[in-house]
Amino acid sequence: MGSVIFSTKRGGKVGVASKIVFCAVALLVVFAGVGYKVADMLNVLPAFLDNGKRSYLEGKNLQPLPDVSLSAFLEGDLQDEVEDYASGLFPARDGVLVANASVQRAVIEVANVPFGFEVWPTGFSSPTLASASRDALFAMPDEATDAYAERLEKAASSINDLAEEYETCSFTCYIPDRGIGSFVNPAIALMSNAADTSFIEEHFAGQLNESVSCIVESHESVDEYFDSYYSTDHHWTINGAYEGYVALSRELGVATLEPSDSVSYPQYPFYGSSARTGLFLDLTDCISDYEFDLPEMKVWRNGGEIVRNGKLDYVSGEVDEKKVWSNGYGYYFGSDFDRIVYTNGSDQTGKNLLVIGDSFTQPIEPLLASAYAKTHVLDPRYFKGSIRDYIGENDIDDVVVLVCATTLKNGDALDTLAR
Amino acid sequence: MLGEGGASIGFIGAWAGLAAYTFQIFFDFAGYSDMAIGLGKMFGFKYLRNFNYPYISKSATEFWRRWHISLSSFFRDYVYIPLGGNRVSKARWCLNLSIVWALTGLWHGAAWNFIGWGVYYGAVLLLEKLLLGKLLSKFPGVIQHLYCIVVFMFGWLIFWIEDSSVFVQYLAALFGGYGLTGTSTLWELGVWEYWPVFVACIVASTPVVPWARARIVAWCQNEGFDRESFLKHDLPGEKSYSTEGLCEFEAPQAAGRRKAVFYAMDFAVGVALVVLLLLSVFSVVAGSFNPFIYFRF
Repeated sequence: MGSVIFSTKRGGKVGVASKIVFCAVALLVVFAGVGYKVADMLNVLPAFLDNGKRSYLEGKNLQPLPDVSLSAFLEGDLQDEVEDYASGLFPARDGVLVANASVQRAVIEVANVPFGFEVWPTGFSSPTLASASRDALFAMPDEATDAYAERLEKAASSINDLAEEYETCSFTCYIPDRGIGSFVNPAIALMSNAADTSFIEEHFAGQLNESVSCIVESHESVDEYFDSYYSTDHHWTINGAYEGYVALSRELGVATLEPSDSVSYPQYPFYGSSARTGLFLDLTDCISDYEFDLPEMKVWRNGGEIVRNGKLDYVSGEVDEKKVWSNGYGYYFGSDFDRIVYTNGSDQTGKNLLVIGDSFTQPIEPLLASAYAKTHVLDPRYFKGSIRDYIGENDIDDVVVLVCATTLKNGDALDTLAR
Repeated sequence: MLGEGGASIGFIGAWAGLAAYTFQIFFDFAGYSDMAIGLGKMFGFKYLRNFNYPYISKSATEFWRRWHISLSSFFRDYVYIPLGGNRVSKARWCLNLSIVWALTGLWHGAAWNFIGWGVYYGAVLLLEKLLLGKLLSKFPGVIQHLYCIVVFMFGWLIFWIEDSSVFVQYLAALFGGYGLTGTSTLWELGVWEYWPVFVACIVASTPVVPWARARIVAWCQNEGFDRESFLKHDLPGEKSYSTEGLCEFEAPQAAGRRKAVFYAMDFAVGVALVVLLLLSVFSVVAGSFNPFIYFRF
């Protein structure tokens, strides 16, 4: 068959047939994108194929048809956009990405045989690591650079400034483990200069004033860690989140809610952030949750009151096949918002809480809010206002900073903390 | 990681990085050339071969007969020969070669590293023609190959690194100035991930495929086949750099069971080509993978 497309000398029925087959396959591959687009326009795309407009795996909309302009062409943007657009048009693109990563991973696993390393990347240049001894994925640890240390110290300094300005407020910081820098991550031992927990303690917790309490979460054993964290996602499970909530409640001196029941949703496989960024879908988690007898609360997100939440969508079976690849943690516990406000009508204390937090706050926001009259949650990565002014304007009594170390080095978050 | 300074990658990282660049530049450029040749053929144009397994050369002189053939032919015909070629005094001939190679460097870009790269080859070629050539030919083939590999890899180092301070640091790392792995661990370097890729690159840099094809065809046709090294395999049309017959896989004299084996192999080649096409397309599509950054927060 192979020779036939190149050779014009050999004929015969076999030669002609194989020539047609080879050319048909090659044309199918080369023009797949065009056919895909036409099928989408005619609305005859099979249900199992996405339509090239959104990648649930990547969590983003794909490049639309680029606008042609001379300036975009001269700057090279048009060429990049055309390349992205063509790539997005390839049928079952998310599946292709996963297949390609699987091929790369197979090569890396063969390469690792003589070395026997405990962890290896899930693809060439992948930020996610697969483990030999445990069915879990790990994030590549950060390097303990001077720039990272400076950022952590800047974050601590901003919190110190706030604590000095609002002396009557209590300030509590909580840094979840998330497995990127703690001993549970096997890569820490394989690296020369990894930013481990002691680095965070030295450059963040160690820089905070005495008036600011700080908990840098750590675990006694790897098993304990995986009891509190997902195997394929960097977030904590409801177990870990509840432990964090209990520790915070203790620091804040408020009553702790006890779970009344637990639920889990094994029918919906949850591919965590490490699985999706590492294109490693051989492992899954499942979302689990505790049930609490929460007081009646109203919730506003970015100023608008919400009546439904992701938990209901998730439970009602709206997690369709494509959305299985979406961010299940965010889907269930709530996506990132600039500002969320909880009001608790049955509160007797009249106290107000400000939580400056990233996605780790989502499972425990209602729990913390149950002990306060009003709970404000600001995500420092997105909130554009001044936290300093916000504390003054909203009569805040307690401030909790609940962010992982990765957020502490995020430029937007640092700017927000400093405003 | 390998793009970082020599101090952080050490001896292993520096050599692996340079080897990766050596393969990248060959497969990148030779691949584009093959695409141009193939596309031209589809429209009825016949182009000459531009690369002829340059990394199996035994000297810099041979390397430049096999690397970027169209460019060296151009400079030979339109610069070197009009300047008088080698039918001039020795001093003038040296000047002619120097001019040609400085221009060859400049052709690749208006930067000092490219000019330096051209001058480097001019010097090496002069050295080979005046001193080293006869001496080299007395050594075993393996030594000659190793010599040539070192020559073209150092050439690529000059070609690759524009910043002179980075160049010096990288050079020091190549000679072990920063230890085996620099300030990194072997795992961090990531070199170990790529050794199967390096093996594939080494194999693909040699004429092992046309050699195997010729052996298979000879066996299918029940013909004898010289037990020559695959590195010496004479490609179809090599002398004229013609691309005719390069991709033919035929055994018209095959008969009986051997004919059936030939057809099976023919089919397997077709399947392998389709798989390679698919993998290439997958790789291109995957090149646009850029997950939403806040997945990680």
